Parts: sequence; structure tokens; C-alpha cells
Amino acid sequence: MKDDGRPLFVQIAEEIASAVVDGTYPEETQVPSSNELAAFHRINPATAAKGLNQLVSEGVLYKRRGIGMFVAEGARTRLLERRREDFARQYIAPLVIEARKIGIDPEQLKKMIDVWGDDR
Amino acid sequence: MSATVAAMHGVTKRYSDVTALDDVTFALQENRIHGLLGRNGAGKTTAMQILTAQNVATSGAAEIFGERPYENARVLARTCFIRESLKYPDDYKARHVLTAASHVYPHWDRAFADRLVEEFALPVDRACKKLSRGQHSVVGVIIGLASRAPLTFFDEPYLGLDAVARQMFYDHLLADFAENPRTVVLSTHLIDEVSDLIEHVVLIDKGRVLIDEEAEALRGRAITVTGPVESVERFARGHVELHREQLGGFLRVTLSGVQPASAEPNLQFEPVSLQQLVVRTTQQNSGARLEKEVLS
Amino acid sequence: MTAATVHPDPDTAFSSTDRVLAAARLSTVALRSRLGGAWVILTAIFVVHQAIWWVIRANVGAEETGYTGALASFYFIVASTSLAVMTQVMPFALSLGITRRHFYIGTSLLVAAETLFSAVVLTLLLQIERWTGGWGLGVQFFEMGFMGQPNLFLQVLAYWVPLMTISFLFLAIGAVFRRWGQTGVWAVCIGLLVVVAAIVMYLTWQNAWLSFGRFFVETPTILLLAGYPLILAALSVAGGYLVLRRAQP
Repeated sequence: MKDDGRPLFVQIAEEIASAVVDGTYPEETQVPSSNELAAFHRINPATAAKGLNQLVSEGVLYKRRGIGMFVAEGARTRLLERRREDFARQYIAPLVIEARKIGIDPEQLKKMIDVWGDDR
Repeated sequence: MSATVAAMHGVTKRYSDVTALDDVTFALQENRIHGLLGRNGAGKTTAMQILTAQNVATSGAAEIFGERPYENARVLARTCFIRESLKYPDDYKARHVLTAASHVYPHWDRAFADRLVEEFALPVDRACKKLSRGQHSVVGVIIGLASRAPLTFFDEPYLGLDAVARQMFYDHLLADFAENPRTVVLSTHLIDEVSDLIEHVVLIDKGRVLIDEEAEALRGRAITVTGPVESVERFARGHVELHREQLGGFLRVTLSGVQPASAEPNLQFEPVSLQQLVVRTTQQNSGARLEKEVLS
Repeated sequence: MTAATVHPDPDTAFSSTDRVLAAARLSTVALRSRLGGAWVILTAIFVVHQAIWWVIRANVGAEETGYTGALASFYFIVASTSLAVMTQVMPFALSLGITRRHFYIGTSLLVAAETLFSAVVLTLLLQIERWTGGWGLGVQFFEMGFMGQPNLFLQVLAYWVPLMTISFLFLAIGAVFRRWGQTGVWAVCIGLLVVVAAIVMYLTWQNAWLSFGRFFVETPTILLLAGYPLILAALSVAGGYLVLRRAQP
């Protein structure tokens, strides 16, 4: 797993969450068990379980006793919304700050985004 | 919080010329994988030997399963202590050793042992004195894994194994641990390899416990800050410093208990792996530091 | 923050008998290589012995009966395997969670059983030797000379107890090795020699050699072979155990 200082269980949770967002795990499908995740990533099963439980407490997954963990209804929508907020905090805020430092105000910034956005 | 399965209370072990353990106290919870880390000669083996009654403390108390281990068949029957230096009877063949172990452990998994023999390609009909160092380690690993002993100690048992075999050991350990939970204590100085496996870290250096924490809490506990000397010094002020390196006008400092500050443009922040954290902490302990608390 | 302590769960409790048996089985797994070696050597000595006496008979004629101490060397080879058990198997046993006490008991019982079995086989071979008139050559290999016993039961005892006693002694020496290493073994051997020397000096000083000799002649051989050695056997077992209690693997 990545050595970026984030707890392993957080990385596990984010990986599953990303898979929910990009449609790999549609709602009401089963996600890998903690033992499977542990074996695959070569980490302690307790850590993998903690990651899954984190998603349960966030309402992304729910547990079916004796079967496993399943993607909750509306999980994708909730995750996308949270990701939008994170995106703003992580990218937009520093972008505006950085732009201001070199003399670009938000209006100019919007024009730049349009230009760069068209090129794609 | 799960129950304690093994503990040391103020254990000191003194030999005529050296103190192997100095007032060591820690507790291990059951059904977790614990990492007992430290340099060679730090005291890890002595600690495990005292816990398994192979050695006796000079002062202090050790207990496993709530009882003193010395000559205590009831609790010792639930332990297995595999260490690299263990010599098997010279003329025994490898399969004799495995059969002998199978007689001792009631939960011995014969099918598992056979599978491991095949995967590690152990020559079972070869006499123990003729085994290579790696094969010798494989015997120990197989015993430790197949014994299903509720409290299993692995004292650097894989020193003779190459990286591929070591990875096989970790994979089997994890898989078996997931299906059949037990308490595993892994002592090693190959920290990078096991940092994702262990849940609880006990770092021993020169007979003292330097770290006794959850592995997860230690990830991200420390960061490295690199940049111009003045900026770094300013940032580092007031924080616990583990290490510093300077090259000309640039300073790199390892700090503990600090979060990266995105508002500092000059500074570069890097996470510190468990191995680096352990190395820095140990190095710091070697320096003439008087404080006992190394990490805040 | 204190957590509860795990106690050994009673479902998987096992008895002392199981542990003692397990300790003994640690030594039996490689039985063939361990004891087999001793019997192979005995057979080799026997064959060579027969060959030598056959040649002698062929040249010299039927005069003296052959009698060698080959049996003694067999005894010491068997006993030395006990030494190996203590020096090599004991550390292994300890790492598998067997207590020193159970290991000592299990190994001692095993030694007693193995030596008894050897004694029975030796007695059978002795019978065959007698029936074949000394293997057709008038040769005595298994015969104990003036120490021979009138019946089979006593004969087995006569073979068994000395063999067992020497083995127990070697077990105890093995325990000394585990506790105090090579130096300890030297110290014990020198100590024993000193004791023997002291006894010899005492007997000389007291002019007691005659009574000493008379004691040997007058005491029934069965007591000499299977009686008094038991004292030494018991001392070895007790002493060895006390020494082992504090030994580190």
C-alpha cells in the first residue's frame, strides 16, 4: 500500500469508495471481504476490516450478516457530492490563492479555464 | 479492546557483564499480529525467551495467558517459539522434525504442513545438519505456521530465506491468520517488509522499550521537512526532532507529531515510513539523550 | 486502561500424560537412526569377532572359549545416544512448549523402555548362543561369564539394569552440558574421578581391599548387576533433573 502517511484503513476505504464512484461496484452489489482485501494488498485483516467498517459508518456500505458487505443505496450520489466538496477545498482554493499571488484575479481565472477547457 | 494474552511487568535481565533488558513493560492483546522491532542484540530475543520460560528474568514478572510461564505446562502447551538459531537434532531428517512437532501440538494441521513443504520445496528426507540456511528457516516457518499454537513467536525465523520465500511466508501467515486467528509475535529488523502486516509495534533498543503503540498511529506520526535552513528551523521550533541533516544552505529535519503545513511554500514535506521512524528513533536513543520519552 | 487477561481455555486442556508422551515421541521419531546405529555396530563387532575366532579355531583347535568385552562397547554406544537426546532434542522440545520436567520424565521412561527391549533381545541372543554351542565355534559373545544368571527373568534384569543405569548417567551428564556447557561436563567428570580416587585412597589407607574383594565375591551377582546400580540410576535421574530445571536451551 502507498506510503503516504495516511492510515492503511483510510487507503482501503478510499479505494473501495473510488470503485463505487466509477461504477465498478453498483449499488446492492457485494464488495470484497476484509480477508480478500487483506490477502490482495498484503496487509493485516484487521486493518482491512477497519476500512470497510469506516465505509459502513459513512453509509457507503452495509453489512448482510453471514454474507458480506454490500454497496448501500444512494452511496454513489453521496460520495460524488463529498468528492465535489473535497475537490473545491483541495484544488479550487489553492488555485485561487496561487493565481492571486501572480496577479490573476478570479475573472481572468475563469477565462483561462474556458480556454484550457476548450482545448480538451 | 481485546484481552491481554502476554505481558511483561518491569522485567530486567542482567548477565554478569551486560543488562539485556532494563525495566521492560508491555502487553500484547490476543489475536493480533505484533511486531517486536529493534536492532540485533537489542533484547528482543531475550524478551521472547523470558515469555516462553526458556530464560528467567532477574527481576520483574512475565506472564502468558495470565500465568507465570516457568515450567507451566498448561500455558506453554499453547505456545510455539521459532527462532533462527534453533538447532534441530543433527541426524533427524526434516520430516522427522515435522512429525515430532505434530505430536506436540493438538491443533497441528497436517494438510497445511504438507502444502507448505511443497510450496517451499523443502527436501524432507535430508538430514537437518545438511540443510542449507534457507531450508533450515523453512522448517521453522512450517512448524510455526502449522502448529496453530494460540501464541506463536517468530524470532527472525526467515533470515535464511530469500525475498521470494519471505513474501510467501508473509502471505501464508496473513491468509492463515485471517482464517484461524491467533496471537502472532513477529520479531524482525526487516521493518519495511512487515509494516503492513503488524498492528502493534514494540520497539526495543538497548534493553529498553522506546515505542509501544498501534502501528496505525505511527504511520504519519513523523514527517521529514526539507528546505532552506532558516525556514526549516522556524517550522521545527517547539517540535520533537528525531533527526537532522544539513547540506550547505539546505536542512532536512525529521519531526514527530507534526502535520505538513500547506501554507509554507519553501518547505517540502515527505511522509516517514515505519522503518525510517524506527531507525531515527533508535539513532536518537543512541545519542546522549536523557529524556525517556522519545515520541510525544 | 486495563484489559482483561486471556486465560487458557479449558476445552483444549491436555493432561500431563499427553505432554510426557509427546516429549518421549520427540525422541522416537528417528528411532531407527538413533538406536539402529548401536545394533548395527554390535552386529559388525559380532561378525568380526566370529571371523577372528573361526580363524583361531581353525589354526589352534578347540581350547579356550572366546570371551570379549564387546558387549561393554555396545552398552556405551547405547548410552551415548541418551547423551545426544539431552544435548540435541531438549532445546527443540523447549521451543515447542514442553516443560523441562515433562521432557525429563518422558525421556527417562523412554530410556527405561528401550533398554528393557534391548535386554530382552540380548537375552534371546544369549539363548541362541547357548543352544548352538557358542555359534558352532564354542565362542562366548553374549555370555557374561561368572555373571551369568540361572534363569531368563534374572538374565534380562542383569542386562537391563546396568544398561539403563549407564544411560541415565549419560542423560544426567547431558543435563549438565545443557546447564553449564562443556566446562560443566569436564568439572563433573573430574569431580567423579576425584570421588573414585578418594574411595581408592580410603580403601588403601584402611587396608580394606581384601574385604572389598570379598564383598564382591560373596554378594550374589544379581545384586551387583541389578541391585546396587539402581541406587546410581536413581541418583542420576534425581541429580539430572535438578540440574536441568534451570537449564537454558
